[in-house]
Amino acid sequence: MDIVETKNLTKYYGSVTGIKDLSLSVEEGEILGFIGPNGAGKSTTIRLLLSLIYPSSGSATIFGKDVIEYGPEIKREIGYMPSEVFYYENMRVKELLEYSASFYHKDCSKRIKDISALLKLDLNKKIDDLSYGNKKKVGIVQGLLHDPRLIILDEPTGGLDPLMQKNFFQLLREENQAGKTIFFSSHILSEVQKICDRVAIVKDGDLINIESMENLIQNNYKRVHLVTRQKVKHEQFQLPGVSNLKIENSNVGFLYKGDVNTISRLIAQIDLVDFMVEEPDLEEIFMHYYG
Amino acid sequence: MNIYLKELRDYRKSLIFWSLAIVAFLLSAMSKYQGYAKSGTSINDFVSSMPAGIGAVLGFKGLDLQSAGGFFAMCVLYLAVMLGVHAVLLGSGIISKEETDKTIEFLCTKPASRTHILFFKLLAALTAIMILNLVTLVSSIVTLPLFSEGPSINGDILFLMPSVFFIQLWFLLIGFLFATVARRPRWAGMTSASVLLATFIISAVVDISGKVSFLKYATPFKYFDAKTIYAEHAYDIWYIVFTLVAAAIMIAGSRYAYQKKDFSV
Repeated sequence: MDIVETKNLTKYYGSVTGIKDLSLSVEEGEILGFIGPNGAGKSTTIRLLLSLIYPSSGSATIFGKDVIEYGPEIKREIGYMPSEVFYYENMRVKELLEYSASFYHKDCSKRIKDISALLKLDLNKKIDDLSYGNKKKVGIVQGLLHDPRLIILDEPTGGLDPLMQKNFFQLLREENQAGKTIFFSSHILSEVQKICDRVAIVKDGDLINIESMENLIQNNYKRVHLVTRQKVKHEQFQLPGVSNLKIENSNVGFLYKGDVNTISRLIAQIDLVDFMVEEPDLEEIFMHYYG
Repeated sequence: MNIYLKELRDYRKSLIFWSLAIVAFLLSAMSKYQGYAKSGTSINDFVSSMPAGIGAVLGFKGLDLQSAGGFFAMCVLYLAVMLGVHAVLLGSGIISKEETDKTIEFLCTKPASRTHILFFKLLAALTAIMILNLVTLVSSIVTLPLFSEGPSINGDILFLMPSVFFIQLWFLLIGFLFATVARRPRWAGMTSASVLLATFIISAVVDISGKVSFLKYATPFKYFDAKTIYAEHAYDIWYIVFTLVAAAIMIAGSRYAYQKKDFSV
């Protein structure tokens, strides 16, 4: 069964498009990455799913139930972690988590304790005194404490240090292995690559592509920089998969998509001072891969 | 119920502050009354030498200020304004703070419907205005005998305080309605407080000028005018009925507006 399904979901803010005609489904037990640059409509989609805002047209269901009509009921089984965490600042972490738990009518104390310990979150501090990263941790615990069936994450890793990110990803994998479905919104391709089974890509409110991580990686561009000892010519790089080639004196830069062996053989023929292969940022992928 | 308890806890400090302000007001007002009473000056002579407009704005037009009851009836106008301000700020704030502090995202992603959230917030706000009304009632009953040697006026106090409650109810719900309708949350507090000020001015204008008495229908301060209630020793039942009907409409309106609202944090 599809855990989340949207049909032609559209939201306008006045004349500004939030998202348009977004049809998407999240299968049970998968981790779906939802990526796109800032302002692409990721948060709008999530807010529509959580009925914080209402669609201009189209509809969405979660667990097969309409998100507006059955909002309070389906939210019992949803854990949501916002991108920017805003909580009642006069409360202590413990009080906030207990307040959060009080909405679910079940004992969440063990999970609060376990997840807080894993993230090294001090429960006795005032929310007001927490750093950005620590507020984010409160957000994680708050989103997971009721053992939800669907976890919705909106750019969850900002502010977390690398070790915490690792713990957090480990936690998500464990939740996923326990059968939880995860909807993971992000603008960082590499973190989506680490954890997701499938990826949906949005740009300017449109769903551009949805495919398995495997395909995406195969089709993925690399950004290649070379510093050569001798001058090279454009013709040397006329190879399928090379695009956006720029040669300035001894500096060569291009995007490459295809078999890495082909390009490594080509590079091996050139006398190099230095070279670098990196992941292009999302903007570049959108510009070149998705036109 | 968790929302109700949390709100009451959040407003505990503010309630204590308002209670202290009211006790301070009562003490200072009644000590003035005692001063006049002891010195033997007739307050009535003094105030009758003032222009009628001032008497109307200050709320003592037509009252016998020499008697403790008459003096208290004048004080009730001030109490009504104070408690009205409290109610209007509470009504708008209890809704709009979730949006200004951006905690609405937390609250609305919990398994609680918007109607549920509104209901318990309204219940908490009603509890708070009732507590403040009771604090005012009790501190009046305790304070007045300290400054007045005449017969007890507890009966008058008990009879007049419900008028203050109805005024509180009006402004609580006006603030509540404005905050649920408002697209920008900060707008609600300012606007609903302006409504309070405007209706207060209207009620003073009605007292000053005999020509615009039809305006008395436009202000809750006139529906529950302490000096009239004190003089006639009766409430106008139609104003009470109207208030309750208006309250029901404002609550339904708030619910409708809140249900439709987009929360874009």
